Formats: sequence, C-alpha cells, structure tokens
Amino acid sequence: MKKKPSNSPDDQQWFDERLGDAIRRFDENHLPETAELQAFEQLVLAHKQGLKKKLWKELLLFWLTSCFIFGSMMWVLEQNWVGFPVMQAVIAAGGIIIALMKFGNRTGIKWKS
Amino acid sequence: MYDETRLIKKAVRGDSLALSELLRQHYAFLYQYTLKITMNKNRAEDITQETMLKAIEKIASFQGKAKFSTWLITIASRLYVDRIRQMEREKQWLQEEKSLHGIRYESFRRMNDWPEALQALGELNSELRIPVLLKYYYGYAQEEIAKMLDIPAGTVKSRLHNGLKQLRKELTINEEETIE
Repeated sequence: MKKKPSNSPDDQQWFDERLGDAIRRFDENHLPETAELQAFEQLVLAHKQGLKKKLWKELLLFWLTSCFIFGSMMWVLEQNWVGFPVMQAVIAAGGIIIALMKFGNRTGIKWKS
Repeated sequence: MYDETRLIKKAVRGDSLALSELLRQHYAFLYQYTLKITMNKNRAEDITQETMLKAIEKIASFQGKAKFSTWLITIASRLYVDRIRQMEREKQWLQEEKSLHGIRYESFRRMNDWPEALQALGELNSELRIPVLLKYYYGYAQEEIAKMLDIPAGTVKSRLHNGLKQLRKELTINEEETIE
C-alpha cells in the first residue's frame, strides 16, 4: 500500500476543517487584557537596570579575583621560584575547566532571528 | 498606526520606549501562543513573562531576518521545551493532566463549550503539539520550525506526521462514540 506523504496539502485542509475554527475560537475567548504602555516601560527599564547591575557586579568580582590572583602570583614569585610555574599551571587549568563548564552549557541557546 | 520596522530598529539600538511598545503590541499574540502550547493559564503567564525578559536581554542580537513575532515564539518555545526537560516524566504527565482539566473548565466558562478538537490537541504531547501548531495553525514551513526549535528538519517532519496521526485517531474515536 502506498504510504500517503505526510504534510501534504490534504493535511493542512484536514487540520483547518477539523481544528482550525476551534483553535481560533479558543484564541478569541482567551484574549488577555494588555496593560498600559507605562507598565511595559517599567518592566523594560527595571530589567535593563537589573542587567546593568549584574554586569557591574560581575566586573567587580572579576577585578577582585584578578587582583587576588596577581597578588598571590607576585607573593609566590618572591617566595619560591619553583612554585611559581606550578601555581600558574594550576590556575590555567582551573580557568579552562570553568570556561568549558560555563560556555559549554550555553551552546545552542542563541536567540537568532 | 505603528511602524514595526522603525520600532525594531530603535529597540535594537537601545530605545526602551520602542521596545516597550513592541512588547505591548505582541503581548496578546505571545500569551495566546503560550496558552496553546502549555494548555495551562499559570504556566502560559510565566512563559510569556520569561520570554519578554529574555527579549529585553537579547534585543541587541535581533537581526531582523525573521518577524519580531517569530522571534518571540522561538524564545517562548525553547523556554517551554527547556522547562519540560527539567521536569520528571511522571510529574510532567500529572501536570499535563491537571492543566487540561483547568483549561477545559476555564474555556467552558468563557466559550460555553469545549470542542473535541481542543481536547484532542490538549492530549497531544507538547513535543508534538508545538510543531503541529506552528505548521498548521501559524503556517510556518518545516525548515523554519526546525530552526525555531533547534531540532533537525527530519525530526520536525516525523513529529508532524505522528501529531496529525494521533489527532486523526482521537477525533475519529470521538466521532464514532458520538454516532453510537
């Protein structure tokens, strides 16, 4: 028996006839009340502000961590010549692991238009 | 009348008022879409809200290749799919059962009716319901749906086939029961 190809125009017609009207009626009856423009403006501004704050916090944390690592490196360099390359290797490995964990999970979540 | 292209350009450049206007214009459309894919009023409100926040966050990366509404429903669909993945299978099934009761009651209150077509659509697994709605109700092509949901085009095709097959089966059973 010949298999009917899926997604044919017949499928569309069948969907329109059997479900189209019911879904349209569902949409019409579940029309939400849309808030005033001011409410949307507040949402946008508040979220943008929140994002900015988060960005500054992350930047500050980055600077503090950088200062701590740099200070520690200088201290180790002054104390122990052999310990210096070891510590650098450990930090580099840690950095790579964190970057992989953080950015590895993000792949595929791009909101391209 | 509002000029969407002009608003999008302004919003991408960082104009908060333009973005607010865009979100306001698309709010009802977005909510109606999330309600159909979730079949749950509270979850639809949550996903709509999260989608708008994500849109505020990512508006600078909007390239304008697709319509703004398409971009919004892409975000909403992926957020919902992610949320489903986070839920345990059994829990999800129970939730969907409860959701359908809720939306059925709500729709009956508003429409004085709960058509068999909606019952059949509601009984579809979200994995099948989303592509079916996007293809046959919103008119997107299979390739577009694949991009929107970030899945292969072959998967979209098979989900559409299975979704429609299940809908046909459900509606035929209901029809036969009515005749008897």
